[in-house]
Amino acid sequence: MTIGATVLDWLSIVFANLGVLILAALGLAIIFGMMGIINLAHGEFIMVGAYATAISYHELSAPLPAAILIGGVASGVLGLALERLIIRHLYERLIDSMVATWGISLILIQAALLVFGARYPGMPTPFGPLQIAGVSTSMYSVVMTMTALALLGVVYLVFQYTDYGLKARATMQNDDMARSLGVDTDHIYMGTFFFGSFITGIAGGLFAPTVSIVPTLGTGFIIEAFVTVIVGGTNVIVGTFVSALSLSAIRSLGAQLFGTLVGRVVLLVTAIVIIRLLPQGITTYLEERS
Amino acid sequence: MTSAIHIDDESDENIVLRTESLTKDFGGLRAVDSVDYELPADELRCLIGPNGAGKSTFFKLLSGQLQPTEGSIYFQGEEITNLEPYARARRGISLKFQNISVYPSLTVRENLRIPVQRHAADVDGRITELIELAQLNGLGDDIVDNLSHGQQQWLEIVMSMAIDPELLLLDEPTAGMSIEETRETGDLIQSLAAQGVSIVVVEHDINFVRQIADWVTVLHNGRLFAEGTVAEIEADERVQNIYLGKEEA
Amino acid sequence: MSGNERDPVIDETADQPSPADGRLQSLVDPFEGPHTVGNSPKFWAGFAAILLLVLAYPLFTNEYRVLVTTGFFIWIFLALSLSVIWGFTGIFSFGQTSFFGLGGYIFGVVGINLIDVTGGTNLALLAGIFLPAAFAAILGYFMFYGRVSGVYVAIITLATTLILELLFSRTAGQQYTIGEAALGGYNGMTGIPSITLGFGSTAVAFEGVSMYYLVVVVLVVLYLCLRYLVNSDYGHVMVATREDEDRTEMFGYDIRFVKLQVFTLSGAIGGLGGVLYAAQGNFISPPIMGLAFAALPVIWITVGGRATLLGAIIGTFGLRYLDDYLAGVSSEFSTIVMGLILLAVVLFFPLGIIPTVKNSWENSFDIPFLGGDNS
Repeated sequence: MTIGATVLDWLSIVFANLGVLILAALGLAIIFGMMGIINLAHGEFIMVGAYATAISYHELSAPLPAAILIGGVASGVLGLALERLIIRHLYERLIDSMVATWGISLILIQAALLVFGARYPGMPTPFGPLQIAGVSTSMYSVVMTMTALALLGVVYLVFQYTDYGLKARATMQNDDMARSLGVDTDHIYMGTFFFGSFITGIAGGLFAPTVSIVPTLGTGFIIEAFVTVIVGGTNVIVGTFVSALSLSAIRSLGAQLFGTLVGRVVLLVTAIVIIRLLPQGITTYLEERS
Repeated sequence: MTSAIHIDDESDENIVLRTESLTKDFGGLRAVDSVDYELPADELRCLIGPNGAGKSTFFKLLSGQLQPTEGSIYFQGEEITNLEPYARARRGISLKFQNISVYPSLTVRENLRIPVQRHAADVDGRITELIELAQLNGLGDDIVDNLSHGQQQWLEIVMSMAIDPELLLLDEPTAGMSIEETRETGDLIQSLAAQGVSIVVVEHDINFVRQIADWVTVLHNGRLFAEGTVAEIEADERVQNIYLGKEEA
Repeated sequence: MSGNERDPVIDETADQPSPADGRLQSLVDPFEGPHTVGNSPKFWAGFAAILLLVLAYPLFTNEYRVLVTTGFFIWIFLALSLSVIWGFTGIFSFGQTSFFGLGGYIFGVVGINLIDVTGGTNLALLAGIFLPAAFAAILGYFMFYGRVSGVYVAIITLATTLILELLFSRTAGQQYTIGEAALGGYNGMTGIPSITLGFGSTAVAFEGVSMYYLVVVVLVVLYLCLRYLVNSDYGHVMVATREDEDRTEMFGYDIRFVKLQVFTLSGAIGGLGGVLYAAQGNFISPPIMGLAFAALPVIWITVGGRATLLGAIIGTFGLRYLDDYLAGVSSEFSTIVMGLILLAVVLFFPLGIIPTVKNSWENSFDIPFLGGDNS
């Protein structure tokens, strides 16, 4: 393979991985950025989205886009319920939120196992392969990344141009101030948790045709989601994007040269290095430079 | 500005603290702007200025919690600009933070123990002494969170003294205190100064400043705006104007 | 705030204890203090009683239960390694399993290679403690001297343990054999010897019941050493660092160094636990350094009570015992019950069970829980 072809190959992998990371991390970033809690059940929200998508596909014969939307709604509703029952007691209690959501994670995985068994029928990956500039990739992974970028755009639009978005940003900056200005922060937290879970469910739905539908399918995404979010810092859009891009680039390089496992190791090492160099995350670094 | 370590000439022997063009930027905001500050030994000075003047930032630069964007700091003739906070504390700089920073969930005794155990041979004896100095007799085993605001402030002032500093920086020691408590705090600070400690106090209360200060420095928009005795500063119309928002630096 | 009454605190002439009591008390004094639960003769009596029960346990149960219980005790080492840094010094590490796993693997490699040479695992034991400690020192230096703190320490330590899991998973195949020890990739390393102290034909191997006693003795010694540490002057610095780093630094303490020291200690404790784990099961594999295991000590300590040693011990033993019991009753629902317990504790016992019990005991009965403090 020529150098050019190798680079193009690498770029296509980066592009594909970028989509996966953004999708996996975006919902978590919204919740972490807003409420300072770490949802260790995040992988299970992906799982719920994937399951709901697969179930709608098989039981309701829903077309893929509709099934994915249903996946989003399913996770969103689950998130809403958990927020009202449990999570809202744990805001600004970072460690406790981790332990509690770990408990939720155990329950959800076990429940999925009990209700649906060890494995649920999977879905075919649509569209087939794609050849661009001599590089072969799958059309679906391109679609996933485009959707991921579109979702980033959607999140941006929601935060910038909706009433909810304005109140949400105010609450993120200073919730006491927002409250004294009349914002119902309780509702904002609820809405944000729904929004973040919805996005995560969409991600799960998008992942569904590419993974086996098993109760533990979320566990493969959670670490990368975490690392992307924390390296990115509190800025949901730019932070997540820059973080996902850097980590994806390095990981793909590692994977291309040495295999998937090394790719994952390289991603983690890169995260460590970035944190060490920018101890407050990418967001704060960018903010201080501006 | 050079950042090489060097000892200044003999005229600095009685200058315990000196800054040269000390500057701190936060992104686009210049919080401290080219400040040249000098504190002769054994003096009790106040640092005043309207909100946002940069007083607390200046203190944090002195304590080492913030690194300056430009400029240098000299303590007893030695450059300390690149020293970590603990190293400055060991050389004799002590800071009482603006927000009360005692250890709320520990008892009074346990609080005092932390600074004392590094500095005193007779730890328990020294702790008892300091409890008395802070007028907290009988409260030694009380959880600090249960003390009144004023009592916590006094505890922290006394803890700052417990490391036997040469230079004591007090950031708003009378915040939230009654008139009586403020006056007593002034007495305490003056008695500390009498023990040969150089002290700089950031304060808003003009009566308090009048009570204790040998000399007053005024900061405005991060710049050193005016200096003089209390009487001179009180008479200075420009200083009055910056408080009324009428004058820019 | 005025008034100058001398408080009658320094009046030790009242209730003068007898000379014998005085000597006993002064023996126990360094192990008592505000940072541990249980500071009275009643506590130590109870402690001795429970210790006797623990020592007698193998006499009235079967070998299998002894093995299982030994396993519970070994996990306590992992919990204590986290308690020391998180509960007492405020460093939240999500990667104590790195030291645990490294300790086990290093013991395995050195042990397998030297057991036939020297007849014992003495060097392996030492290596399994000191090398993870050295690793902790390097990682700690990297983090704390770079002023990394808070959730970023959690991520770096989590990433570290996951990296180790991934690296060790990749070690299947002939080329990943160190001397006689095959690392074994994802399936792990087998044939790890038991703890064998001594040399040649006089060496003593600890297995089954003798391993149980060894673990109990080492655990008790470690517990007492840690009690001594956290109640000493150094313990005060640890707690001060946890409560307010910046303030503590301004009293002249190099908190970067304090954190480094404590973190290194936690590496040694974790490594020791890993050695015992590998020696007991004669086996170790990469998942021990994965996400599920990394979360366990966090959970045990959160449930038991973060800021006390006793909380770490009881939380770990209790949850492990419960998990074992539930798995026997119904493996399907055991995980769900565990999840519900975590939720219940976080929502209703936010300080952890031991501190909550202590506080409600003291609030209801107005007497100190497990004895008062003698300051």
